[in-house]
Amino acid sequence: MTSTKKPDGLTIFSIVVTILIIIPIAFILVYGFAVYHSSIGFSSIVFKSIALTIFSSSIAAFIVFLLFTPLAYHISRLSSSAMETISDISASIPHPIVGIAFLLIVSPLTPFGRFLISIGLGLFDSIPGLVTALAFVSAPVYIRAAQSVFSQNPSEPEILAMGLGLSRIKTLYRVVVPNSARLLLSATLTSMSRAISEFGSIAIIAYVILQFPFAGVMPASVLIYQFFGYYGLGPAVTASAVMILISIIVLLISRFIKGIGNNRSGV
Amino acid sequence: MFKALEVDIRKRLGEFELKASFNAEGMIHIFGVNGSGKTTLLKCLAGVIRVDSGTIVHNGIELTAIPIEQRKVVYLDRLSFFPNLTVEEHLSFLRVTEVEEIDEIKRIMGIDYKGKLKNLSTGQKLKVSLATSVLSHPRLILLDEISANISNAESTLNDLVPILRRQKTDMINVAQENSQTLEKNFTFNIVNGKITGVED
Repeated sequence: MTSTKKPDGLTIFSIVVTILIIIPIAFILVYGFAVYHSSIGFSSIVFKSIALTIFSSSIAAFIVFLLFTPLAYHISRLSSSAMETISDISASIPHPIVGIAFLLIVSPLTPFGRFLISIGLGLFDSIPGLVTALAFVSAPVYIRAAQSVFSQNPSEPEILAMGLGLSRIKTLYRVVVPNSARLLLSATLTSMSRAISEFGSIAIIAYVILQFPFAGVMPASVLIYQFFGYYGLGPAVTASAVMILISIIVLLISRFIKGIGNNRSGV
Repeated sequence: MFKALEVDIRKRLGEFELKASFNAEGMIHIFGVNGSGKTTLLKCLAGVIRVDSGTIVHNGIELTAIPIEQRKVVYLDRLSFFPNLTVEEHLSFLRVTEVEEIDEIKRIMGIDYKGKLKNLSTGQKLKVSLATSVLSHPRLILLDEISANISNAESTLNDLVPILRRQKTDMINVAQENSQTLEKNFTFNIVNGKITGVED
């Protein structure tokens, strides 16, 4: 005998609000690919721009993984509210402020900026500048996700490793990270998704890249904004549809990897 | 009378207070019902929980303030294993252990299986973890009710005694009930956080 479970009120409400999230995305995809189908939206400028965005977001996500995994682990095990609050700052301020802050830091107005310029490492309109801003704004997303991964892990293997004589940092890299590799990769891809969507800070610090191999190329979000200003809605919507498709693929890969991690269990 | 392990500690956790004072060495068996403070005691000894007051001394060395990674005290419960490692990788976790020593402990403990630990049964995992702990030559090994998950656990522990004696490692085995078959040097009963010696 089989029984069909009827959806309750909470399920129906959840479906409705999920549809609300989908509506603008669906409109962009339908209008971008089927209605406007603007040739400018499919031009090489758009694909170079998307390539720059994917490239810089990937590097930013990798840097975030390297730099912030220890912090996420530390917070998850020793719950430092000060560190948690500080790690959330970049997510809670308007992102043009992040761009302005970086612009100030790397400008000749500050000793650090003068030093960077003296060694030929200007961040303004450069790939390092773009990556730095993306890493800064996507770090909180990764820290939160990684912290959640670590918090769900039992601490016994770590206690065993430390009892065997490993320091906390060695325990992190020999025990904790290998045990959580898939979920941390998923967290890294989620932070990459966040980096792909960034506009506010990079419109200030890296509006157009002046370096090889992306000389003259704008990050996708900036290019779409410029298309909207120069050409109007059609090209902007088409370019947006292409960008959304790429973002959804990254997000789906992240969810798929996370799903594999969740489905693994011992005997 | 001097014993290798001298414990005199206090730890309060909400309404519960652990007051443990005992001297012992060799194979030490501590039994008590759920909530009597067995795990708290072991975690205090391992350095996982910081004691409120008192001292933990082993062979004249005060361990109380020594960080867990320098204490050379290994705490094991049923989740204490590295799931992503194979049996061989687990046993050579410290990368300094001689092959002959690993082979000896595998023979004594009947570890004749391979594969990643996450694919083994709980008892097989715990045997590998216990073997890894012995191979690290610690001062003290603390077993938090893992015997119930290992087949012929007490016989396995008895077989380990000569090795533990040779490398001057003491072991505390914690369980719900007293054991008649474990070859123990000292037995204690813990009730509401207070520990008392038991004559076998």
